[in-house]
Amino acid sequence: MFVRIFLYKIKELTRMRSIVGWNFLFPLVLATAFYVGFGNLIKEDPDTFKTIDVGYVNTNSQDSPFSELLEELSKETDEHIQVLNVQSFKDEKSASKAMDDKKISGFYLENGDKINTVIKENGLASTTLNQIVRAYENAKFQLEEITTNHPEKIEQAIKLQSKDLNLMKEHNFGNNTSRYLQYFFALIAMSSLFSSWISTSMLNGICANISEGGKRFECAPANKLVAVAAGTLAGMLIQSVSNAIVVIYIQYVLNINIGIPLGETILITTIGSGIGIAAGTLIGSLLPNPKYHVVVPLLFSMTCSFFSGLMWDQIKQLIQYKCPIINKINPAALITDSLFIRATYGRTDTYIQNIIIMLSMIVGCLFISSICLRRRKYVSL
Amino acid sequence: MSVFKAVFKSIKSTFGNLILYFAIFTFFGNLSAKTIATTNETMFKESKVSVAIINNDESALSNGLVDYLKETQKVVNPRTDSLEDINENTRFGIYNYAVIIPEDFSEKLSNGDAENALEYISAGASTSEYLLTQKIDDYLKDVVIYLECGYSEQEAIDLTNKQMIKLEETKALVQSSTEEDHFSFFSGMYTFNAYSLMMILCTCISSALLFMKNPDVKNRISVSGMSFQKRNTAIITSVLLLGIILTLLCIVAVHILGFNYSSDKSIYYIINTFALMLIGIGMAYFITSITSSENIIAMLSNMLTLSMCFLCGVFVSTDLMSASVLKAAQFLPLYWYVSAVHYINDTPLGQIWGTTFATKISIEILFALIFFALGMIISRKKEQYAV
Repeated sequence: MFVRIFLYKIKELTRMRSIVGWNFLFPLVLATAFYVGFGNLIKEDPDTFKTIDVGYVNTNSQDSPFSELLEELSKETDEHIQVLNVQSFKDEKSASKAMDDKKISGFYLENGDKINTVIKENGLASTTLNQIVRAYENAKFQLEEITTNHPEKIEQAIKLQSKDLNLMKEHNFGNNTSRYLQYFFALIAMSSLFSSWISTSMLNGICANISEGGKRFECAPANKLVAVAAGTLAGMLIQSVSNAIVVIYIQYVLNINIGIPLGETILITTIGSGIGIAAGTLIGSLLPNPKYHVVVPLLFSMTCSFFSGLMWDQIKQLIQYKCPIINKINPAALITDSLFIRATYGRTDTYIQNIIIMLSMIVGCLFISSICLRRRKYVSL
Repeated sequence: MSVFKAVFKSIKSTFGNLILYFAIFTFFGNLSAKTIATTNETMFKESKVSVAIINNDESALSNGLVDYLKETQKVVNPRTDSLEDINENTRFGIYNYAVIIPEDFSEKLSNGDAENALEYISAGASTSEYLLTQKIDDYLKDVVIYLECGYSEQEAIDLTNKQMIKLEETKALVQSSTEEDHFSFFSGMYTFNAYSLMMILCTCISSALLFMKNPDVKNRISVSGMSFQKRNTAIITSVLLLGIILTLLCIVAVHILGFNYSSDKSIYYIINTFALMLIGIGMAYFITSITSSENIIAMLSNMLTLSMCFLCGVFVSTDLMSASVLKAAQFLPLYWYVSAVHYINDTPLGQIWGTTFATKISIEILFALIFFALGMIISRKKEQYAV
């Protein structure tokens, strides 16, 4: 009987146009829109340091140490960063014109001992240009100070100033997952939670107070637990297949490297589908009115997905910073976080914790649903 | 009047959705607009990098560095000791940079073994990362040089701090500033409005139109004494009025949230929003003509609106998109809405009203008409073939 109900449920669910549209088509369309919109940003981070185009006007008759500094900053460093791209101008007017034409971000005007930084707008690039002058002046002040109080150490100071002391190092986490990949993780989470209306649709067919089919089902001499289990598993299978299609589409058709072995991604999304199914069963059992069986799961999935970063990638982290408990009870955030952690750091304690919370959610929802659904008696139908 | 009332009563079931989209708009739209808003300044203002510090040393040298960063940057609480969490906070822009001062920091500096004395976490090789790394490096290098040249620890800290404060006087000169150089709060809010208003309109208008398509309702209206013309006029007027009320609701929300900001260009933003309203109503009509299933309507509304928002610069700035995507996006109505918002933002007040603005608004209205026409064709064909 289990196999028969299981197969019939699969047939029934796959014939529902809305389920095919929401669970199979919608994630693929959205993934394509993401890819077309900002797929390029995953490979080329827009925040990466870009060489600053700057002008240089020297009104003095000879080269200064500052021009040597600019020359030094125009060379590529070991980290493949070229800080400045310097263009020399005869006078301030031509440099101003180039700045207005957006050919340069600003220019240095050296007049006598004084160096002025002229910019068009405030921002990080302008602050960086100003910082270069500050660093140059700082070195001058320091040498003056040491010449006054410790003249015997002046040579050592000059030597140290010109040396790269490597005082800082960046912490290495191994993989650096792009923040734009978060949108795709949130999309996979959304797709997983869409299984919630698979279970509400399934409940429509087994509750006597909802549909004619439900009346027939309730009075049939079949084991209800077996029937519900078969229906739930059929829904989960359909959603898992849908998730697998989305993941394969992202990874192999759109060619975006998720950074997690395919099997493990499908495993995480299958657990996510389980949450969706369990949450849908809970919604269906708590809200007997079939009118809410589409709207509430839809609101549930979209709200959870929004807070996991589907429309604004920062939101999940902002919640994590201000009130992390919300991310631990939001199933979409748990799925997104598990995928992000697995892709960036591997199987950490937080990853395992997320999986355990998701599994507990499934058990919790199904337990409450079973209490609500068991041994129902209808006074009138 | 009865048709009019019926249309308004029919949207009762969408109140949940309406409140949700409105809440998203007022809360997250506001937050996002405030984050990206920049002002038009004529004085040099140094960009401050938000930095989280974990000080495991608590020595005079490490405290000196912390004081320097507090004075020159925006120091925030990391709120976690987990390096992974700190990495995610920097990666997602909660703060830009994190400095981890190890326990042996001052010992290393004093012994002259200063290589890799400090660890930092940043979101890749960005401009803010370069800037702050340079600043901290300059500071530490100064301290190290003073220590190597025979100064005491306290002298090295005091001299470096004094120098750094003196250098604050070195400021760049801002030569000129145009409207294009800043992005106003209102532009941010009205850009986000594209998503919220479209979803609100699609949900409510579709619900109202669907109600009118219900065979029972349709038959009851048909047998009433109301003429065909009067009935249709009532439906069109009520749908339009509903659209206007919902649009005004969003506009009022934007202006209440932005009462602190100057709103001299409001009239143009409002004109643009009403053009968006027509697109929203048109799209709702088009979707309702395709199907009568609430579920499929919700799916199509989400699919079309979300896809357009990602492709037309509502959620992701158009500056980050490739030229080919932007060219393709010109065939979508939200592109012209967002483009009009940017145009209003970038153009001086007196020059907004002109051919460019009128063209953008006309294209939006044209898209609305296309949606209406498509909806009418589909409805007609469905009637013709009794689908």
